[in-house]
Amino acid sequence: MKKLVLGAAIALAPIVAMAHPAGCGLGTAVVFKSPGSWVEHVLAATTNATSGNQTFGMTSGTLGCEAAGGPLASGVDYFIDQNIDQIALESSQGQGETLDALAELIGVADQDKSAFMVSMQSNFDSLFPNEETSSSQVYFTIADIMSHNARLSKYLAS
Amino acid sequence: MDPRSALASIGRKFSLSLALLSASDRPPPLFSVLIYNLPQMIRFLFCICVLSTSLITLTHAAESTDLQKLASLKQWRHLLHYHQVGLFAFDESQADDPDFFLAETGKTDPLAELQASLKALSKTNPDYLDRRCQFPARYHWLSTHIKTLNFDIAHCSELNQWLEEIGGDGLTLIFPAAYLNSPSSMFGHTLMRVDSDKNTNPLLNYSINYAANADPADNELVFSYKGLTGGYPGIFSVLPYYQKVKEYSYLESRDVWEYELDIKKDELEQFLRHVWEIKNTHFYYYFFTENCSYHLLTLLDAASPRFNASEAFTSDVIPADTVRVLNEQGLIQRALFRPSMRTNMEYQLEQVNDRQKHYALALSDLEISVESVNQTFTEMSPEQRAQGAELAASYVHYLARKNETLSRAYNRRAIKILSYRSSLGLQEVFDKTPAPEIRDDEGHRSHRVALSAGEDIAGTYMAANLRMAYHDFLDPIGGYLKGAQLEMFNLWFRAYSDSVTLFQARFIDIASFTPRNDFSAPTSWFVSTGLERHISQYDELMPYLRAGPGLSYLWFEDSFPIQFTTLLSTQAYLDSDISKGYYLGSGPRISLLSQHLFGNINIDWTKHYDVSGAKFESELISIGASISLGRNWQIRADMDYQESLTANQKTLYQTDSSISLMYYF
Repeated sequence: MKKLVLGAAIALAPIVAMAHPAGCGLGTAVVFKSPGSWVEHVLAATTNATSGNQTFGMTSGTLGCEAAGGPLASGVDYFIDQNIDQIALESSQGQGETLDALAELIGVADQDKSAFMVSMQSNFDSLFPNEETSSSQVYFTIADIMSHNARLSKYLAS
Repeated sequence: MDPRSALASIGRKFSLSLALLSASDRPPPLFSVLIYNLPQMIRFLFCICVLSTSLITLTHAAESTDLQKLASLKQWRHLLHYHQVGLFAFDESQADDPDFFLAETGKTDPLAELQASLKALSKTNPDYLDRRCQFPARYHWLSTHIKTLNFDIAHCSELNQWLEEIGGDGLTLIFPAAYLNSPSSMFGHTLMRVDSDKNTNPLLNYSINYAANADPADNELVFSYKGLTGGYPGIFSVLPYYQKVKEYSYLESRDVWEYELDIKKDELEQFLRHVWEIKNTHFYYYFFTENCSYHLLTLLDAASPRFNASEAFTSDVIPADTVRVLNEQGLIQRALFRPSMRTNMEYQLEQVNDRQKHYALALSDLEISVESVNQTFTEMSPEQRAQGAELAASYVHYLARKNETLSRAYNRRAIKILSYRSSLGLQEVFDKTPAPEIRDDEGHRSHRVALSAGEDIAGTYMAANLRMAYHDFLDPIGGYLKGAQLEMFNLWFRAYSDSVTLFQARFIDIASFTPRNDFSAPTSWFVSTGLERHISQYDELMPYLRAGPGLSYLWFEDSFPIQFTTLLSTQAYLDSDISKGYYLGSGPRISLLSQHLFGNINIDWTKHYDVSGAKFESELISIGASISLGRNWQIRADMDYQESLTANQKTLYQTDSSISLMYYF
């Protein structure tokens, strides 16, 4: 089972403890709510700069987070949160590198990855019902879809 | 006299006096022996002490020489980041954080630092366990050279957890291409990715990035100034690779090259241990020298005596050159191309017909519902629809980010389009974007010199050019962005029959001409500043500034692509000899540019009407053609026709023609 160590971030900046029942990564990102164009430029202008909070830890942004006790492997919630736009795009296509990485994080074996991605495609409307869909919803919908799929249900965390 | 011979002579005297004493018939009383020989004995004991001290000193001397030798070894210096690059560089460590050094003079004295390190790492130091975990690379290297130092980091839980998580079976140099729309990204960027066999998907690996820790409150001018002059500390950070791909591929639409490096397992282990050592260390960031690309090389150099890449750089460090150096040293095993979202879209547009493009645009039109669009475009196959839907989704995603007021509506439409796409099933409906024929590191080198012969109003001339960086419209295009120009410190000297002058100096000359199409509408722009001559006073160099926005289009894409750009140009001159001391003019500029691997052609027309200050309305037509001769040579022909209408209605004009041979190094 793949895992991203959430709690072991080695931080430069002080850690602000966040208590969140399902893990820090969930519920903050909404699909396609990426920055507008002017922010894009500022981001671009500071591409080679880094904010002071950048840590040396494994998962920047989850400082002090509790590992999720959710149905999917630890770290999956954070990944969905950080990659929600690309997951939506690739789910509609039933293929893609980010989707493949998601499958790998969940622990799906290589031979079942394609089945996972096609299942994401055929269940797109449940995964992304509208433009307000949050990463938290996506997370639990994936778990739900997998539980009903004979080939994929074995990858759910017990 | 040295201690040994002193001891010997005292011994002789002692034995002689003993012998003399024993020469008499009576055995000498101990007391008299002692009395007679006390001075010798004292001297003897003294000598023993001196001898042992000097033997100890001799041992120390032997050890010191060893330590001195060790401290002067290149690899120790690399571990301490003793490097020199740039115009004013001292023989000292480039690390600017005092916590990186254990000795007070560690920044300038490698021996002192070695001695302090040994002391800190040895068991006699109460802190030794922590120090071993804090400086594992130094510890490891020292342990291979000093028999009494054993390498053991089993107790370093944080370090070991980090090493376990980051993995480490391979190292890849990541090179996002140049991005002209951001000052700090104009020359591109480099970062490292640590590849772990436990991850099949590269997105899950970790990347090591060096960047300036800029104050987000600083505006772009302050940012540029501080970035150039060491005003920001640079720090290393570790991020999952997917974060960087998100940034480069999706947000900024920059193509990325991934170069797998030839690094052995033990070298990679030392590399990672060293990364841990410098994780909290800052180095003042200098855009032209100690920048992102440079410090990745210094990290590599610290990992193994086999790497000496940073030594190749003395004056400036341009990212593409760091890749070239690694390639020349045989350290690049494989190169992979990662196209950006925009590049993918450009290639996808080539795979669809006009009807599909209309379909995609119709799907993106908020005025028409997705259902009615599908009812209109009935004759298309599911695969064609899938292609159209994918294009539409990318386009709408782009529109949502460009247009804040409509972004919510566009996001809603995006979901609808994606939903429709998913209903079609089918997975790969487009061919994968192929890698360009010539990689970014395989293009012409960054510096240029040229020799020229020509003629202008002042007579025939021979000219010489020196350009520090980087690429203009007529330079060989392989490995460079089309329609992009980035020049810094471009000097032309001319020798006429009676004089030699600095003819022209361009400090900065940047142009970004990006073609618009149905699916994207970028703004083109240019800026140029330096010293140049105007025909109204050809004998004087005047400071100038010229800039403006515009629109660009690509014509005849399928046969002989020509990039047509139209801009509004505004220029200013400053000179005490011209009326009012300055000149401000504005007017249209049109450029026709065609770039190919074998050669380029550029026709540029610009006219400036008087706005303010001195009056000399001017017009310039530039025609240039170049032919590539291999990767780093080029032959070029230029013809500039300049016309100016002065205040007293007199027309001045001249033609400046030349042929040049360019060499890139």
